[in-house]
Amino acid sequence: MNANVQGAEGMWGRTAAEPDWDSVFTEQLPRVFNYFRYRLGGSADIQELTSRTFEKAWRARRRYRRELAGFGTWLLRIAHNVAVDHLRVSRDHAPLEAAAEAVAEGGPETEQERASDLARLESLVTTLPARERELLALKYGAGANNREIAAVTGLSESNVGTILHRTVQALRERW
Amino acid sequence: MDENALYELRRDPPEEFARQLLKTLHEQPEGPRYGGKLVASLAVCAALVAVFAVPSVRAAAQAFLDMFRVVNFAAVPVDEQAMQRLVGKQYGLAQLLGDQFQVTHPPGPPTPYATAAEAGAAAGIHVQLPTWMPVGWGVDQATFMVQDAQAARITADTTKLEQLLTALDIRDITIPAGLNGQTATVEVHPTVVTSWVHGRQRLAILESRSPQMQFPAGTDLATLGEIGLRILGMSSSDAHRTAQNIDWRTTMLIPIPPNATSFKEITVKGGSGLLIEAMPRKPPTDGLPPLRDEILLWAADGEVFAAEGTVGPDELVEMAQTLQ
Repeated sequence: MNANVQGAEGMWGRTAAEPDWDSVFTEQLPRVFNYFRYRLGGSADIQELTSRTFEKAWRARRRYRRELAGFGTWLLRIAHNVAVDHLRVSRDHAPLEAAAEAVAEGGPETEQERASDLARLESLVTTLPARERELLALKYGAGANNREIAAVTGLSESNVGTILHRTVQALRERW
Repeated sequence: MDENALYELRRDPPEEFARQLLKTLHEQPEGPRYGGKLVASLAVCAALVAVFAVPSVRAAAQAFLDMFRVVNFAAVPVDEQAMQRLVGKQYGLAQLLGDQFQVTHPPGPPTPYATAAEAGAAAGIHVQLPTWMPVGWGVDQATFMVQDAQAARITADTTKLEQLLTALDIRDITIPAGLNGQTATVEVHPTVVTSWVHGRQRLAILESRSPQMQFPAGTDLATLGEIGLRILGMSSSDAHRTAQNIDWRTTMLIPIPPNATSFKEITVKGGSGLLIEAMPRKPPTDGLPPLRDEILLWAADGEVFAAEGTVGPDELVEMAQTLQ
């Protein structure tokens, strides 16, 4: 977690006089948005789920307890719960395919090649088991470190590192 | 493919979406804050949860909780180290109660019933069922179990209590005069447990007439409560303030477990309630991401209810509101 987010903890804490919501929002929005993109892909309404996460956090911001988790971790935990709830309701998710198609559209030839690689990678990601994909979404989508991921998922930090390492290895082998 | 490629799949959120969302958030009202009573009461709970985890003292701890006739709930924080001391061999809660705790009506084994009506008839209550459940869940998929009634008598032994306080280095509180030898009776009524399982998800609603405790008139409950809070690890000033603010004749203290991520007071069907959200203490064995657990407690019309499950806090509350 970087300094801005640490600052956000203070701003959102119980003792804060006036939360600097705009700065917190700017810092955290890309993390949450990309977490959902990696976790659920193009078939899900990423903007809706991102909005739901921030609305829950906003309503509960006075209940945030710094001693239990860093602010970014707390927010990702809410996002994680929103994703779990979403998956519970819509079992028919076919993640990232739509996003992959969108990436592959148009642009100069070099861009198209790059987009093609990314689309291929995205397709590989969609084939991962739920747990591996969750960790990948937190690591590369949200940019969380292993300690944050452990706090969000309930796995041990070393287990997170091991699973991520094996997952990336598996993707390389299938590349 | 290198690891950086995985980062390159990231995209910036659309600017218009970001702008609209920020605007929406600024227009939103803030959710409920914790009340002073709740914040002050966040300590006794974890201790009692730990006690419940130790079978040898479970019955004794249950009696401690049941000494309140429940109208309200208050969450209380507990010092886990104090809990460990409580379940220790030398000065444990079992030793404190020991011979002074006499089970007058031991509970029988839980009994399954085919329908809510049959379970309700056995428990002497009308079993309330939700008229709304989350997508994929059906009220007709429920199973019913009745946990038997139980009763006990507790006799105060101030010598043992003094020994415990001394062992815990609590020397600044005075045991009420005339307490020694006084008896109190605890009665826990049959409880109907209505359960559902849906894949990895689970849900249960517990319903019972409010447990009751009878004790001699004039018993200084506030001081006894303060002693209990101190034993469970609360500081002197916090314990005193909390004890003075709680109506000990109607308030059940609920330990907030260490894995709790949030809790709040909530009104359910017009009654006072408490919603606790927690992550599981241990990772799931199936390798899938852990499911958050919620517990909703409330009291209404002389009954106590608990809804516990993994369906989500909003869903749990919404379902509880539709019980009838």
